Amino acid sequence: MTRNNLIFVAFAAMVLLQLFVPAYMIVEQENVIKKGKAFKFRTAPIDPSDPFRGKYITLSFEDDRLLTADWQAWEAHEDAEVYLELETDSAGFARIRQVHLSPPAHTQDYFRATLYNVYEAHQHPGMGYLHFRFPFNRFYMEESKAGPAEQLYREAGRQPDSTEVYAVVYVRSGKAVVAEVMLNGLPIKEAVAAQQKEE
Amino acid sequence: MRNQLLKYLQELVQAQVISDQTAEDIQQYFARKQQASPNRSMMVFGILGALFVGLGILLILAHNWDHFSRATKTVIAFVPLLAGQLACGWTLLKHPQSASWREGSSTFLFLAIGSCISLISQIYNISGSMSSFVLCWMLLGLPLVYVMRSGMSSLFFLTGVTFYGWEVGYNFSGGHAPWLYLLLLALALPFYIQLLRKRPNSNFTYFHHWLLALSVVIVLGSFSGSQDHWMFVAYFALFALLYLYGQTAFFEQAKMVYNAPRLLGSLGSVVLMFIFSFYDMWKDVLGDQEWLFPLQRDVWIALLLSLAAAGLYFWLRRRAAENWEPNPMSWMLFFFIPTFVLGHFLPVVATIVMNLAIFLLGIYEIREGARDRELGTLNFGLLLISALIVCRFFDTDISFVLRGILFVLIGAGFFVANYRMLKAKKSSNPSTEQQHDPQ
Repeated sequence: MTRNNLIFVAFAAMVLLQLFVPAYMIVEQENVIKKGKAFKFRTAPIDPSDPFRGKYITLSFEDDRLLTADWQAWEAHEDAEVYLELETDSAGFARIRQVHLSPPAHTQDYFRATLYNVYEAHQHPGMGYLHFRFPFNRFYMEESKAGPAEQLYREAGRQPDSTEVYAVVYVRSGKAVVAEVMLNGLPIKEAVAAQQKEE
Repeated sequence: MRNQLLKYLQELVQAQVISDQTAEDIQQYFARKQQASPNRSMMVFGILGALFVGLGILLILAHNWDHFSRATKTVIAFVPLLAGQLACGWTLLKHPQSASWREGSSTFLFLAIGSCISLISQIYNISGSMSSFVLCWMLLGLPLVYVMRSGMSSLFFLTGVTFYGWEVGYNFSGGHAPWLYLLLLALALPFYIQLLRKRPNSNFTYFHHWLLALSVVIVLGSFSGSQDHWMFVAYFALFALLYLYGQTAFFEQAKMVYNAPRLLGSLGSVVLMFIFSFYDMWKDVLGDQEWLFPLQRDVWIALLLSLAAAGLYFWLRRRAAENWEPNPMSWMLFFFIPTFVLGHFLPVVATIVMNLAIFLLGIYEIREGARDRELGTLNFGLLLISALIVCRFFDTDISFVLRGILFVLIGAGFFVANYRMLKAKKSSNPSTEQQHDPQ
């Protein structure tokens, strides 16, 4: 093979790789959205920014802990990757059903997370909390809407009983994709747009 | 400079300093030289254009357009990427030898890769850390360095890799040694070596010197384990290694400002020496260590880098002329290591030794500068002495009386040295002295 041909083969390989990796990312995420199950996670949005990917709201989840009696056995697994099996509570929100060290075989409703820390629950004698870090905590928004979204949440938060913010997350076999963030029954970008219109 | 010289040619011919033929030869020489050199401004504008357009697209896409559907956004994500790939393909087909085309199209494609994966992260709310995002971007961009032979892509890659090492190594929420950084750096090295061999005096090579040297200096610290006091030696060894590398044949024709390894090496060594000229440093930082050789990772790193520096020193020595007088900075490491060990037991002695070393190094640089009439070296020596004076004058660990006596002694030393130098000069050259002396 001449040097020129070699360069063209290398170029073609490079082009294919550069197209394949983003395409694979898309297929992987689409798969979770199409075949996975949707769970609702109670959350609170905050507004930071990323230099390349734009503005997003950081989701801080309310139910990222599990109260358990065998908490001390988990202390050795701090910072480890774990698999969280989910179920839906009576109000329709996601709840951690069980923690596994390897992917469970009997269900697809689980995702991979990090066991952030383990600590004793003083209000529940003999029990302790397992605190997890979820792999999804960003929801990207149009730059003009990320700030107001946080503000809207804060203002709504003054009447806590009437406010409901949750993220719709598709979960399937270890993977999770945040599809939408809802504020009082409306997708958050629509809630912000409605608010901006009113002003 | 060329235009200035040509302007004076006529004048020099008229004044009969040079002949008509010489003037003609000089003009022809510059004409030939200009033909041979590539059009640099074209390349700079090409790169700048691609850089601005690429960065602009990154920013526009980061806006995150709400009213586009997921499918539309996905298509948009690929448009700049495909455009960049087409431009690179076109360059390889039609202008493979044009540096402007190669650098311009690669710069654009490199940025387009970033915009494509960031838009996909945006569409699917992928939370991945900044380091994994940059890593993915750099790995996809790396082939551009070799396929397109693009210096700009290599500079992007080195910057990204350094950022990756920094993010992984110094992360507040649990950083760990960025071993992958070493592999990534190794992937960039063949291109750097090629630059050294083929274009040792090009701007791209100079930028690479700077970026590579800065990169290793920045990231080295993140490799320390739980114990890290030997990282001081590791850094000293790294600076020595850089300094010695700056002495190799690759840098023979480079101006001082382009000799990044040498500049960073000497600056880093001097800063470390100054840090250890304070007694507190020996007493508080090293005195707290439970034992001297805990055989942790930092000891191994220090050992490895010191051996590398020693190897390079002896290699340079073997290749140098017989009367090679290496600058003390070349072997300061071999003096620093025993002092460092000594400091664990006798901090006072180590402090004095380190101060003396800076002082002597300053004197050496002043002497060298005066001898070779190199103002830079002379000023560097003066700067060392002045900084040492300032540090010690305000050093609250030493009593006023002792500081006073030390200063008087050093001042007296300068007078004596000056007097003896003058005397020696007089005895060796009495006629010159008489000419200057009206008496």
